Amino acid sequence: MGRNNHLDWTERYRPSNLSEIIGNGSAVKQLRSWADSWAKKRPKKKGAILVGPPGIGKTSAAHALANEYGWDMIELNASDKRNASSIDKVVGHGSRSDSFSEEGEFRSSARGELKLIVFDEADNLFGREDYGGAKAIVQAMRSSAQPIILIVNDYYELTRRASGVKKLAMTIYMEIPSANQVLNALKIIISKEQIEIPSEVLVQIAKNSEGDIRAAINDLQSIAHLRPDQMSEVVMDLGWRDIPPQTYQVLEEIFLSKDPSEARKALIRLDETPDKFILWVDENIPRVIKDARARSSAFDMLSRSDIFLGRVGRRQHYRFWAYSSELMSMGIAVVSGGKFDVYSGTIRRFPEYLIKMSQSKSRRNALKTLISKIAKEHHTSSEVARESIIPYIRSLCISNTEFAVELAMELELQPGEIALLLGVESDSDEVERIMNMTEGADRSSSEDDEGKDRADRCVEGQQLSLFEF
Amino acid sequence: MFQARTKADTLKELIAIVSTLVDEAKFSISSEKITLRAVDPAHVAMLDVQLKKDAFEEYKADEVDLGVDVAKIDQFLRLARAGDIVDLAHDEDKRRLNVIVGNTTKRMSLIDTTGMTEPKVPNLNLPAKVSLNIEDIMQGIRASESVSDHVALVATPEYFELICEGDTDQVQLKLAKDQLVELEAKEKARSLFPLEYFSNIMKSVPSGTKLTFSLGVDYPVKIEFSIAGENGEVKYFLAPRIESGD
Repeated sequence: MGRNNHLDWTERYRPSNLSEIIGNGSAVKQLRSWADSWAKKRPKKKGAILVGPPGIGKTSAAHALANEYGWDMIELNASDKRNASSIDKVVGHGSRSDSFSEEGEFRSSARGELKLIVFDEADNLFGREDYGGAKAIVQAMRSSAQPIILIVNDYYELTRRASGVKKLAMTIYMEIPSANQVLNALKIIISKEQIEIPSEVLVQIAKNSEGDIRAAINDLQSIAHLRPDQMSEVVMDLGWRDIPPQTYQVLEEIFLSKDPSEARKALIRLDETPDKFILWVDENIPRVIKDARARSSAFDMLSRSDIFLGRVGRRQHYRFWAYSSELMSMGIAVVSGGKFDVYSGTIRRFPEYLIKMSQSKSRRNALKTLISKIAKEHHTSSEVARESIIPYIRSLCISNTEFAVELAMELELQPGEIALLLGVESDSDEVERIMNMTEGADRSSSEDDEGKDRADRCVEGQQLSLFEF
Repeated sequence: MFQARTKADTLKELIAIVSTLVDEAKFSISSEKITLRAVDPAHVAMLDVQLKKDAFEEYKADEVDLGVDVAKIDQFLRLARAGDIVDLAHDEDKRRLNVIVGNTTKRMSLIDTTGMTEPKVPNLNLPAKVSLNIEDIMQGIRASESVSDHVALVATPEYFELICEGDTDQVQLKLAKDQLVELEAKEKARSLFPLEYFSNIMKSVPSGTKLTFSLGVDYPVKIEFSIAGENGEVKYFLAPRIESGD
């Protein structure tokens, strides 16, 4: 559609032409032949059904088709109301009349200027809101004078409800692109964005996506703001395509939709627990909500939501997840929904909390083992070891290398633990020196017991001297 | 900044017109006038409305776009009686439009207008022109509603005609040249239109209004009229229905 100012990369890099569709040569060929059949006379198959798993380019193919053939296009998404009467209003009327494009040009079907009607997620007509929807699709298609594309994940779910479409539409299956094809698409994007991303990160993203191009592009965008080392951290270590691809959609619903109940429904559909999802909301609130007061009430909602998460943790009463979820979805949507000019593309920042937690993982583990070693040695709780003993040992180690070496030998400290005591990085020279000295001392002294006594005395003696201050 | 005061009836007329085609609308406000251009969701009809500042009793504005939920404002304006005065004010900080009728204020949150495109007014070659009073055509439209879902508008040098043909019944409304305010047609012009759209558009025309149809052959119709005592201009464009070739 030539709208290239989208901040959302999946929109910005939507193919403008069928030849840009990734893979799927035969599907593209079938789609073109169906479109060509409209050129002469109204064909028997007024519709085309594009079938395939999420994110592989079905909607993009429909958009590209309209663009390539210069057709006007209207689209009905799952977020639109889709009961019988609203389908009849848009698809029914739209398909029987000529068209004014959004730019205000008159399009005459007699001159071959058609209007493509794209019905996204046509297998997803649920509940009372969409009552009679499936039947209305069949009716509209039967009387249509314009091309209609139905997009489905599940062909049988559609034909079960609307068996009439089988005769009226041509069924085109789209295939899952290979990791290599996804990788190539990602490479094109980063060269256009002029950003550098390590190639092993790209490969991993492509692999993780399992052919879901939309997910891959979303992932790419969500890490694009990170430093290269953080990127590999996130992609390699975080087990990261555990993030359901709909995460971004749910965030969009929460921050942008005008109807808070839509946000709630979206979160319910999301395969993610609220204690994980809250991090995404938290990360993105300041980026969406610019108004200070609104931002504060959004965080207020989030903290209430978090209270319930805390109660789930303490009481193991998982029913509280429901309250927590509703506060973080509907609650935020009430504050934010549709009130802020934000491109959906900005709402896809990967939670920094997870990155930091991952980066500090080895440090936190080292601290834990250090505490338990010292607590055991002093016959005390880890709480006491952490609060009352470690601070002293730490200053002793810094001022007295000999002591540090003996302590390291005694407690069989690892480099990470020594680094914590010295307050330096675990790969620094000081740590290495102490490690070398413990090895040297190991070889020279075989009397282990004596060493142990000495270390104990050392600790106590030095503590006393410190108390003298 | 936008602040205005007007008669409730003026605003009701405007909203009735806008709501025939769209649920959400982007009003472009300038220091001289309010403009709205929109295409309906099915891309069948288009609207171009301008309301000059003279239509208001008070009017102060800088350039601003306001995204408005039309149903919401319509609902509220229904509470206003004829002759009531309505105040409008844009609250920029809270991104709201405040509408005041009598002692009641409704604060409505505005809609994000990014992604709402503003169509250009199409330049169409429509040779036939028919001017008539809205009252003279309404009867024919009401009669058609039970007959079929489409109507033909026909203009010849001698008469203007509305024909609705159903499977079994037919409705015809014929107005000779002397029954019309104006008729200008060198040849016969005829196009078919979706009745629901045509009838909704006609129902949004305030009573006592003179309107002008511009017609072609299997081509859109342009429907023009004034509101708010010549201070507002309305243009509807309706795309023709595709005649079934099956």
